[in-house]
Amino acid sequence: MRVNKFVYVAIILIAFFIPYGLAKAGGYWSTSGKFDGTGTPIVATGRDTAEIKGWMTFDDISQGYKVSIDEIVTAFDLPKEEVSPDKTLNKMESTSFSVTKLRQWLDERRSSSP
Amino acid sequence: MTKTIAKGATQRNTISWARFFQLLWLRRVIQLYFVLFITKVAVEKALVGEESAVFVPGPESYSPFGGFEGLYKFVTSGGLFIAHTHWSNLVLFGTVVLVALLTKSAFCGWICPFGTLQEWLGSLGKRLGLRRSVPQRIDSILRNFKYVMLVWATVGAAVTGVMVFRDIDPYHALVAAAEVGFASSTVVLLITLAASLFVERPWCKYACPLGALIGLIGHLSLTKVERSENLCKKGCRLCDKSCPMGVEITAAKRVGTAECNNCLTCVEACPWGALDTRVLTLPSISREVT
Repeated sequence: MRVNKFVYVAIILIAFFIPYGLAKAGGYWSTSGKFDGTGTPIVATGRDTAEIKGWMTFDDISQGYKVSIDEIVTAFDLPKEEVSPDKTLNKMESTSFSVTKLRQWLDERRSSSP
Repeated sequence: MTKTIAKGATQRNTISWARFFQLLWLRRVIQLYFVLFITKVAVEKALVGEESAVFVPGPESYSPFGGFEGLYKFVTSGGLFIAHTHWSNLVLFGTVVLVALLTKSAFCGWICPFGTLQEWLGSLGKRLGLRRSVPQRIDSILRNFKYVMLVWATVGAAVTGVMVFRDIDPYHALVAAAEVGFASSTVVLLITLAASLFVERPWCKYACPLGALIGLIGHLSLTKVERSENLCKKGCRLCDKSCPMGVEITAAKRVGTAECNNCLTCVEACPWGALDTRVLTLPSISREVT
């Protein structure tokens, strides 16, 4: 069955924009890792280290994963005077510290604790 | 101006230069829209930055491949996104799958801004006399590389939880240039842009993992370009020559190859009205281009 070329183009555009509309209406559209689709701020829950993002603060991690900031500073040999509770993780990234390494450390810490 | 075609052809098969330009320019307008949209997003993000109290989405939020890379983690972790991906990426990936199922690789031919940019550079290269053809044998071998990229990006993201492809993604280097600076992805970008002057859509043909994925899904698509043996004058080969993806359209009745990006340039280029978009009906016995 032949499809008119302009109808074909209309199908492309409709198929492209409909999911966006449905996602937006259903609260499943978010372009930020800081908010979910309904606009609710995302926090570190301690459930899975994959949730940890660079924009999260040391206090967020401390609260979510029940670990003191001092413990993190010691584990990664961070300059204590530069680390504050409201400092974001990505601000402290270096060769010895990164979000990836923090995730790994927290996973190991959790698996080794009783 | 209207040009009538072969004797016996029906009225609807007469081509009109006016109609040719309508579809041609419609495609240009649609492509331009998406290029301008992503440019706006990229510029806004570059100007506002990450530190501002005002949040603006970044261009990575609109990457459908990011949604695919994060899919495994999202499913296995009960809804967590890997770094640099959000709901928008997942939704757009689903959108691309839907478009592929309905219209094959039309996302590549009508929407993808990076494909459009390569196309524009290719047109410029052609005007400057830089266009070159890649030897058939080398072209055939290189076409498989994008599947290697697809496997690497997929497995890498699933195993490491990180978008490994991002490190060499030329699209990311382009739209987040202010953030990326000069990195390995920038080198890939510069090579791709330069190559686009000489070869049509080199990234799409040889390296794009998203295009590879869409091409695979597109095999299930209900609509494809079909060629009428009765109306086709294979000697002219205008369709083959006009195809930006180098598909040999005259080799089959139905253009089912994953290489076709459904831009419909061949359909419009055919003076005999022999090519058309058709919905597949069962049984489908036609031999496809491989």
